[in-house]
Amino acid sequence: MKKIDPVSRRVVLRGIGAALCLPMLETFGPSTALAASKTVASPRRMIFLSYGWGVARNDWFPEAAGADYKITKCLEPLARHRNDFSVLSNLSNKRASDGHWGCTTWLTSADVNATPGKQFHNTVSVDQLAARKLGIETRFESLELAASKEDSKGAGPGLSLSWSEAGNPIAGETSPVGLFDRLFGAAQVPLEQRKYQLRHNHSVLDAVLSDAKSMNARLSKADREKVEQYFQSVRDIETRLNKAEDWLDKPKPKAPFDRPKGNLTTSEEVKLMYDLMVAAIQTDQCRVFTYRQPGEGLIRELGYKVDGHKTTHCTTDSEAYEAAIARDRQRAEQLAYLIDRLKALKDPDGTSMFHNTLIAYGSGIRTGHKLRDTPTLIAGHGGGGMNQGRHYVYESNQTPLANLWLGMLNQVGVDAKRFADSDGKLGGLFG
Amino acid sequence: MRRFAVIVSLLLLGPSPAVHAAGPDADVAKISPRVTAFMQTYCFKCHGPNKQKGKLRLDTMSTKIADGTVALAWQDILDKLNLSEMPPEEATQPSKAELANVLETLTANLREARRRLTDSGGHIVLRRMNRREYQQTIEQLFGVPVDVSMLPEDGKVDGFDTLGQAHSFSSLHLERYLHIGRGVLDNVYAGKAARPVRKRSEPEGAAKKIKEELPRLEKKIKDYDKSIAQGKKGHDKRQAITKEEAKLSKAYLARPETTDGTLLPFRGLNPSTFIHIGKVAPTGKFRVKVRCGVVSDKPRDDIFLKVVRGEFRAKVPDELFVFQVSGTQTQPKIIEFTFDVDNIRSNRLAFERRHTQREKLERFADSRSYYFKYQQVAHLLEDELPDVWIDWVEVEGPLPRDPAPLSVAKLFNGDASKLTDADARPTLERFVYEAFRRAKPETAYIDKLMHVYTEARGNGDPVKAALIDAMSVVLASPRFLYLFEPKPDGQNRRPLTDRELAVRLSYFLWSGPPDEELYAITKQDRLRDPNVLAKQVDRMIASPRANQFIEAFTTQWLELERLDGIAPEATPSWEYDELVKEYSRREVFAFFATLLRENLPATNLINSEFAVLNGLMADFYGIEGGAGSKFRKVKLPSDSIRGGLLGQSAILTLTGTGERTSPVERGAFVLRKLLHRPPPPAPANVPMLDEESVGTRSIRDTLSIHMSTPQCNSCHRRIDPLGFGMENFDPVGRWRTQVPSTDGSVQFKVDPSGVMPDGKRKFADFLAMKRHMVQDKDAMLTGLTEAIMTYALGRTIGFTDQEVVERIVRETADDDYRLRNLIIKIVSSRPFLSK
Repeated sequence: MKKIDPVSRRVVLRGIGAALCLPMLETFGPSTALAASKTVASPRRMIFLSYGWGVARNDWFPEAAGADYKITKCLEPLARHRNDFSVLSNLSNKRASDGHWGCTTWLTSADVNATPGKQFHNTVSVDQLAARKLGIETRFESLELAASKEDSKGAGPGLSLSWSEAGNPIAGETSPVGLFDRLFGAAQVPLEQRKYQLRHNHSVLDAVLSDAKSMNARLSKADREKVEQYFQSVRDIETRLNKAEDWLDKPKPKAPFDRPKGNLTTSEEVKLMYDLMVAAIQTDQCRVFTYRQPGEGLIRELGYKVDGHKTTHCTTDSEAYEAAIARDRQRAEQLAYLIDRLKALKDPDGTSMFHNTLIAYGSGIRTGHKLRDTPTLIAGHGGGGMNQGRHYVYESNQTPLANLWLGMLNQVGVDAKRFADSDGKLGGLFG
Repeated sequence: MRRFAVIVSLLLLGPSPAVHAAGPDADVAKISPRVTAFMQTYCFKCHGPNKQKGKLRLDTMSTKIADGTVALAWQDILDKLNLSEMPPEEATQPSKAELANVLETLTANLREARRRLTDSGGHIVLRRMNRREYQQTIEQLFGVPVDVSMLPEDGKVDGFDTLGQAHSFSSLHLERYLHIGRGVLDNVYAGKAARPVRKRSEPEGAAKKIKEELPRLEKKIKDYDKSIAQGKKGHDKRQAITKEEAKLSKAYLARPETTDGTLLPFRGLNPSTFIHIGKVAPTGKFRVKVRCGVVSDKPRDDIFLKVVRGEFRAKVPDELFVFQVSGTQTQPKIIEFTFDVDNIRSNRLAFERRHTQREKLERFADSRSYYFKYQQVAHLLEDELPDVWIDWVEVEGPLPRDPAPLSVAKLFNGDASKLTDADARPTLERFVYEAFRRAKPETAYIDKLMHVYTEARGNGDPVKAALIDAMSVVLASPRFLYLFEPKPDGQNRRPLTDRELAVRLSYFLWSGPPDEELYAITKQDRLRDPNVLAKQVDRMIASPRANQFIEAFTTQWLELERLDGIAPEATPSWEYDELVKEYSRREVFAFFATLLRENLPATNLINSEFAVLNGLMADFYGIEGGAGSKFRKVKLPSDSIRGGLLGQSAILTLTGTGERTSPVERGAFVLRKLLHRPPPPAPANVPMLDEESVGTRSIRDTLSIHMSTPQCNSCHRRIDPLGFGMENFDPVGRWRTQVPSTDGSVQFKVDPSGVMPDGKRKFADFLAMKRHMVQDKDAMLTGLTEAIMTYALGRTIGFTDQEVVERIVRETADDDYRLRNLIIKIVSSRPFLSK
């Protein structure tokens, strides 16, 4: 009857604590972590970018299949990277069920209504599975970023694109300043002080754990699931701390730019989030990212007085449709910028960091309430061997988006046979 | 009688499924015979006993939706019908009416099935304080406001943020709770002596500044003479603007009132008056007094003082206030109000005379077009409303308040500087006891905290710093963050202890911890006494702390956040500005608060003989007798359109885009909130209407497309007519008789006639529609009761609760629908009193 304590004594004693409120602990500079893994291939990385409300329906999807497709108005800003990405038409999360949820099951491909006794139950997202392998060596297994709730209308339930293994929403970092502080916020402190902080953090977590445990013993199974999330949060910080201990006497990487100031426009916010992702990659603090992107703010900034919902329910001669095109182009420009940045950075084996990265970009809504044949784009080479630069057209309504997620997992070296409702491999793209 | 019927069926049928129907199967949703009859006609030929096309046989499918698999199979059938994939083209087709009916019935069957399959069984999942509650809790415990914007947002279920089911916890949460908690403690126990602020600003300095500015303007005009001569494009217009500026400045200085005060014409010409108190310690409530009057011989009721809280040129103000200026320049009056200084929001207040066209004009403020600026200035010359004269502005604070339980005064007896190591443990114990809502912590836990303390001491931290270190751990511990009500597996439902009940009650009505009086009653175990409980609820609702419930509940229930997306400058009304938008929201709060605090019938939500208005909203609606800065009840004429929620600008605006009304959104809103008939969400993957080239048609005409396809018709025949009944209200809730076409090029006469969702009761106009709705008041009350219970219990209200809900509704109906009594009935019900 008694459940085994989820946090073993040994783990607790390993020293936990956290970045927490205390000065930041060590991170792995490229000179150290990457150098250490030089004998192995360059690290694989994944970035997942998504948003609600779909795309401008007639101006996003290319027509002809193959390498000679004509680039559309919405994707045109990406033209300079044409050989390094592909557009994938007709992929669907076939079990998605709510016409206003663009991001909730994008990375999980789940049927959220399938769990008895629960009104809603999601399953683990593909990034989290990837992070289990790709995140072993980095300080953050994965980083989840998100625009605020007000700015992510049409995204559906969730706090970011990511869902934990138990199917709980993972909170997304909504503030670029907050993210900067997590990555680089520490003041330089002497080694002795850092040692103390590690030890002290351990005591801090030890105390909260003792409270959680005494509570746990007096709760029913359903309630313990909630406390389990608390335990998990402690374990996650523990893991981070254990890594920090290993790197205690190594110098920490400097932030590649100054701490951002508040009061940003939406497009500045997106650019900054991208810059921070690149910085985290550059300093090898993290290899798996998800980012639920803003929508309403972009439209406003572009000078349109329509809301995001309207852009998906409108005639093609309306202001709202014009706004949809402008927003989609803006997003494509931002993505092109991210690719530029990653192309400019080199991994130790001389290939570009972009070459070793896979970027998935799209939405769970096509347009209106249509959840089939959703917009999907994939950039990067995941270390090589991909057939990029094409427009792939799969069987409409039939091809699971999960086939792409499975293919991406395999490409970065995660040995998986199935993911969610996947029924095979995507032809062509992964060679 | 019923038992007899069962026995008869036993005799006749033996052990048949009919017997089970009275047993456990009673909880299972069933597919209606209408659906199976339809399938008999159109589906079984190919998917029945003789043929099983696609290996699919439908006639043997279970019609009892006992689990998710069966539900999914039926969902597949619904999807096929919705997508017109079945029956195939070559097969016999159902009529449009037949198809619409079967779609509606099957959708309803599946929703009911989902409701039953996901029933919580009455279990309330352990829940964490949400952001609002965390903020309130800190404020009540320490007496200081806290910035929670760095905490991850909370998940919601059915729009409510109090459900543990939707709350998650991750390492980001833990990091932030530790960080924010430490910030609060550093702030509260910083040890700086309180230094109250009192600042008076005599604003006649404005005239001096304008005087200094004049020579610069004159020089500019001369410079333009040169550049115009050189043929520089657009400089003539720039010069014209500068000339107007100079002209207005001189006119301002010529006014005698500017020597002993400041004048507030429309801003943009003269500096607006502001007062800035910078960052202050300690934080708290501050009082502001403004001595002012209208420059007019006699008092007026259409002049308002607008107060904007925010840094200079901030894009979004931190807070907006509006006050009626009832004095005159010769007989000024003092406007007085308080605001919360938290060092999070700006402490700068700017004063302006409200100018309704301001936002419309500012639409162009960002544009570099001098043409528009010129228009703006030109327009101001026609501003004929009198100016407001301000004599002085005074700010004072923080106002004294009772010391909070964990303030320096209470926890350290007013002095935290003389602590010794011996004080650490007892201080921590008291701190934890209060933070854990007066539950005794375990010794082991205090030991761990002491370990944190001693470790910090060993590192050289002084006593207080080490204590703060340990205390910040408490503010991130589960028993602080979660509303803990123990109940191990296997234990039956148990009554809450008095302390647990007090906590549940205060988080329901106050979104924060109990106060001294409530705790005191729990000590005597009297809270479960119905009279004591009712009296406490009355007291709690009367307290200003109940605004937490009033504002959070109405915002979430009535989806008031949708107002955030409305841009005043995009609306067709010159009078609708940020102030009206903000105060229309507060009108809903004030209306609900009036019903609650005066214990008035909840039926007022459908129709009322009064409105609750301040001067600004009364002015916007054109209702006489509403002048004043505070919201109060204003009697309405018997044929008024403004009674009830549906006459309120906030509701009428949030259901549209600001630019245009949406009869669909409005109709769906009425079905959801007032008729307790929530329409299903728009089905995924159903193709959209072909909305192309409808530009010159009326919205009513456009939406008639909904009626032509069964897939739309099955829901929209209930939704759209209600929306049409409200078409006399424009996008911001003003009355209109004409409605523009989709592209705005043609005007049509509003046709507000329609039919109620029962398809029977017809109405000619809005008032007639509302009269029908009043007849359906029990449906409204059921919806309201379920919504309040969801918020209060922190779980969905489902099938298990049907009986309780019905009883509460019946008793409340017998009790004249009184709203405060409804709350008392809810907190006295078994679900609220037990774990």
